[in-house]
Amino acid sequence: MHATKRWLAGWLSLLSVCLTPVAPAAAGPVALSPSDSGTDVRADQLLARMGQAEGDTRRRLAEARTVRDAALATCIGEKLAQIDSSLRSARLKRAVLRKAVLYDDASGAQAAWAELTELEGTAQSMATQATQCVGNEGGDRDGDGIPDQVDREPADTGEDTDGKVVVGSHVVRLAELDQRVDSLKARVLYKSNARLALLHNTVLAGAAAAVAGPSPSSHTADAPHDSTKIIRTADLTLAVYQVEKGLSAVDQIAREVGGYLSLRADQQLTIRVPRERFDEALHRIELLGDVLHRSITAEDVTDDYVDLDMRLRNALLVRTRLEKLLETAAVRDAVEIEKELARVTEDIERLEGKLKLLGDRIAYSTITVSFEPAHEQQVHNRALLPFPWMNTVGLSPLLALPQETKK
Amino acid sequence: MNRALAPALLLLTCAATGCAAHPSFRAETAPGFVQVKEDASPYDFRAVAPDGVAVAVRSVSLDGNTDLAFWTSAFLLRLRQLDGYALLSTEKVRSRGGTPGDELVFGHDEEGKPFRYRVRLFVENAKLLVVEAGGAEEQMQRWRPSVDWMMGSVGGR
Repeated sequence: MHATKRWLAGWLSLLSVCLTPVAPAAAGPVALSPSDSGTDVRADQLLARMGQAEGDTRRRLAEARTVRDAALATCIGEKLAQIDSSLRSARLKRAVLRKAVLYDDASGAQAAWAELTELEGTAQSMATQATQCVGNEGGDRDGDGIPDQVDREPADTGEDTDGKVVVGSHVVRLAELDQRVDSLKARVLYKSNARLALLHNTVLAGAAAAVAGPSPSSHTADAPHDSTKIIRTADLTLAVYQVEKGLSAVDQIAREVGGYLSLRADQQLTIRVPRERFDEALHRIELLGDVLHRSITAEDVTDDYVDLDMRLRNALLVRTRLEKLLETAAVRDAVEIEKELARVTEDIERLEGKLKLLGDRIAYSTITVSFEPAHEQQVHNRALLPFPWMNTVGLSPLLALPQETKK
Repeated sequence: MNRALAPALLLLTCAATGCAAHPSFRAETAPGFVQVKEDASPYDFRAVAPDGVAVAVRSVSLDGNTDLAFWTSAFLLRLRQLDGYALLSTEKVRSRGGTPGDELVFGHDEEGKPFRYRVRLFVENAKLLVVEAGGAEEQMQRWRPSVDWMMGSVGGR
């Protein structure tokens, strides 16, 4: 009698527990059926929902790992670990529940079911939080290990009607900064590579020149691309003696070394000679007469050259992009693109001109030869001797004879 | 009698040979050249050829500045750096009396034509003897033996 009462009381309490609503709204009210099969079915359904939550979360974790978003993966991973833990506990509790039902342990079954539902609630909650992880971490699309939107403020985020993440102004600014940093990185890298290449070429060129010596056919039109970007200039002042002959000889030297006459005046001449034969030309000119003054300068314009070259490359890329855009643009946009295209083309022409001019100045050294005495300024700067009679030395007073007057 | 005739005899000899009558040096005029008589001139002696080649001598009191190297350098700087003369050669020479000196040979264009200018410097008896010769390149070449002889005839007394 007592045993029958306890059995009946146990099943009644179990029924009352099972008839109360369970946590997951999607599952609806779950009632524990007195029949063993019904209880099993509901427990399996509960475990299936937890398994689904675990599967969804694991998929999100895989996505986070695919985009190499460390922070997002960590967040989802933590949630997944708790879901897994809940799922393992739920499986144990399901076994306890089955055993309680089998032995008609209504209170044990009730307690097991209560724990099961609590575990499912925890798992679903973790799954929901894992979903929020996706909303809070933007991911690292550029693959540098740094989340793209790590410093995004809550005020800048939200969801639109489609459930997509709304990008705030800070994110746009961050993207612009990222783009700028990338551009600067590329620029620095390009300059470094260019300088290394130039250094390499210089060393090789110097070694080759030391072995082979100057060669009449060694210069080429594209020489500036093969060596250092240095503009060499020389100014020579030769004594005023046999000026015509000397000017013609300098002109001849320029032609013989592959250069050309740039300017010729009464007592001055400027020639351009290939960079490789600058020293040879200079030496030959110095043998023509008495060198009173010599000035040689070497201006390193590598930075200017690299800058111009890079700006030109960028401009060409922009023009290519604009041309592609123009092919598919609407009429209204096409007008704006055409304007931009014209501006970029103008920039390209200007840069090409500058680069060509600079390249020419590098490829051809300038030698100016003057047949003249020192300039007045130089004379004044020089200390004059306190012997006035020395002002009357030279050809002019010697050859100037006094004119006889008839008495 | 002899003492009274001596100066007259010297003047006669000098007139016959063309030597210069200067208290500190002696110079002779080669055939083909004539000595120029001039009152205000930087030169103490000057002789010219018909085509303009000239040889001149001046004697400068040094007041103790008897370093020949100084004067040679001073001439070099003056003529090269300030006047644009081309130094063609330098040579060690001796005066008529055997005093060592320097000769500098310059080239310079005058009105587009090449000219030659030669200078010999000697320090004798606390005086600087400056012997100059110049003219157009072609004429200087033609008169070279005479010019060499005249320049070599210069020396202290």
